[in-house]
Amino acid sequence: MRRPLLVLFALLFVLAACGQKAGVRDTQQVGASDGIGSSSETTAPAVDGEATVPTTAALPGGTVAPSPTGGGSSSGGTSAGGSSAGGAAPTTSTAAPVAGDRTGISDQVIKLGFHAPVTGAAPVPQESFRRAVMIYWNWINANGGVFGRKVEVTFKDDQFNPSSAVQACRALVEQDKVFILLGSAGADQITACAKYANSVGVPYLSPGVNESDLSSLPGYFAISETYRQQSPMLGQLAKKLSKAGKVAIVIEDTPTFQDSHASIVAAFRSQGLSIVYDKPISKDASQAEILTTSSALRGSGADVVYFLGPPVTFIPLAQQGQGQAYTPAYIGPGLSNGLNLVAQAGCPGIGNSRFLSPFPEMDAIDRLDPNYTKQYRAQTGQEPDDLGIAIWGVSKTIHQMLLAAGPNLTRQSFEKTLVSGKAFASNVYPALRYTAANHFGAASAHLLQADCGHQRFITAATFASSL
Amino acid sequence: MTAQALVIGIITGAAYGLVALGLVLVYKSSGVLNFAQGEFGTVAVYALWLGTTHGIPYVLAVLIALGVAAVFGFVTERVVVRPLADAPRVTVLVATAGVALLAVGLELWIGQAQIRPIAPALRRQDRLRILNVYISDQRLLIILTVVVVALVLRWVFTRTFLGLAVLAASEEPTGTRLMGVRVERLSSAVWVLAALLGGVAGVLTGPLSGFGPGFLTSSALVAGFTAAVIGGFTSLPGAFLGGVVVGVIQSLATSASWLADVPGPQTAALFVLLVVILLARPQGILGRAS
Repeated sequence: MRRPLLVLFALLFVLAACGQKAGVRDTQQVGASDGIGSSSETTAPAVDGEATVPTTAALPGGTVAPSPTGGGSSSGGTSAGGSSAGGAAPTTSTAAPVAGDRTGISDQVIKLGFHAPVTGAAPVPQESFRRAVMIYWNWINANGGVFGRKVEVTFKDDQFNPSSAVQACRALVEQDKVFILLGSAGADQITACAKYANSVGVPYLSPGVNESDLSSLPGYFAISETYRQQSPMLGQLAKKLSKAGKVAIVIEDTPTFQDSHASIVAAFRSQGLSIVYDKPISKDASQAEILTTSSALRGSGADVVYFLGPPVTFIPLAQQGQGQAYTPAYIGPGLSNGLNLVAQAGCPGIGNSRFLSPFPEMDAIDRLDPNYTKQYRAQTGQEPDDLGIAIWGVSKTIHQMLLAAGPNLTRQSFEKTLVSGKAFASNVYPALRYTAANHFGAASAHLLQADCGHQRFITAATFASSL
Repeated sequence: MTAQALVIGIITGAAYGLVALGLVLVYKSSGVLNFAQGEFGTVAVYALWLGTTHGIPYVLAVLIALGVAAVFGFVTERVVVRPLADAPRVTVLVATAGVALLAVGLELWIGQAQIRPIAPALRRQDRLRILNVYISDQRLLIILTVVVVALVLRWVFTRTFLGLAVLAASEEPTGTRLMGVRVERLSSAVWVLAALLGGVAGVLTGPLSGFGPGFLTSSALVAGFTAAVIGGFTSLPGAFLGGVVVGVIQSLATSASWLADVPGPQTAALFVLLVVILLARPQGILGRAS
């Protein structure tokens, strides 16, 4: 009887060990997060209504070098939300003390905390991530910062694991004393960290994921469309792509995605599509599960498959599908399945894939914000990639929010600014407008399409609100 | 659907069986549960990837990859296992887990946390079609390999002096030494052989769906342990059989509509089966009661 017990112990041990592999675990100073854009074609008009938050006047931007003195170097930003860089005038660092929580804020520095699944179940190259994470803020800091304050970003790897994510966020709040927390990808990790942040009164922003569990958190803000918000467009896309009118749904097996599931079912039904397969797939699906799923998908006759899950599941599913002579059009919401890394690993199995994304691909970014490639090359000496666009866009959005909140920054004033009705348009991420009752303020997304001939994704539509 | 699950179980379970064979080999010869077995394979597939991306012909790159795995196994035995020869088995178990974590770190350093595609040795995807399931040449190669390896190892352990010496050294090392057998060399040989088996598993299964750091540990080690327990931890053919059982159970649990509302039905079904086997037949399907 000792042997079986030993084996069981061993199994438990390896399960625990598997969650700890990898690692960019060290705290690093890096750059922050997402950006925005808005409506349909190429440029991103602000959400209708009020003017957008400082664009050419105070943001870094467009084709113009940021003003070292902040305050306003505009020059030329060519489109709304354009890109400008540079901070606002550093005149307020000596402002009178203000009431509110100023943790992470000093006269010299604004500290942001950022967690991301650099290791775990997302194929994110660490070096590419590290290179990109500070590029935007280096540019801003070199030109006066934000109201005279340099922005510092402390980064921690959440290992694509909710408990690790909470540990990372706790450390960012309690040890690193950051002003706000930023999430990047991974719905379970974002939800776990957002709940923690809410419990300690720290504002938390991330690209849109699920709404359930997050809609009740007063300090949570989505900086791109949630999965539920993307469902109507994906329903329209499925209608266009499906010749047989038969669609399938494969969603990662987590309660977090219940609202996403309900919304895509409703969207497909509203388009008159027949849902012929609808089953969850494990987060760490085995080969047997993946092969069984792809075989069942083929047997269902679905020619469009809605997939919501991590690339480490999507890539083998598409590859095994191809091995079973099954190459449907995979569609889905999200952040990571439209990365070029997925095309490099998943082609030709993902050849018919189309994913909505908060940020455009490399073929469109120069049109939307030429500063990205310039700064990336200038600061790193490397060729830019789409992971950098994701981080650049987040950072640009946060920059707009910080400028809008003004020099007398507190956590309370920051949140109050966000729900004031102002719009934030970065021309990279979709335009945002929050209200006190709605913290999911985006209304558009980019559509990315696989181009396996070049092992990449291309931008099929920018700032689309319908397809 | 059940018949189809059987087919899928066999072709996916063969990969688990390959990992299980390495586990059984080490356990049978030394009583050690080797948590580095998956990493022997992952390191090999990284070596294969590096070789092919640097223009080395595929076959030569495979041989180099297997050589790297063998060296990894040899170094593990000399640096980690042999110094702990007199330590409790649990200590060695933890040490092999440490080796695995070290290897994952090395893989992250070499290839970053990315999924890497790699071409299979045999590229035809639709060699056979059984019950509406296509079986590729690579899958057939895996099945053939695991069957042949299991039978050869069984023959070695029952019919050759080397195999008997390994078993003897496992049961009574001092007595084996007195018989003139160099136990240390046997230990090295077993670990090199186990690493080679891991390497074979890596280079054969890595191309099926891409690989990343720790891929064989995360995708097949737990299943391999389960397969080994089900088959009987000392039975080499049982390891193959156990792998097939694990694959079939996972496939059945995925396709069973009555399990649709159960979160993680594959893991749950496997756990139930494991408990049943341990209670009803602790020595496994093909193992012998001690």
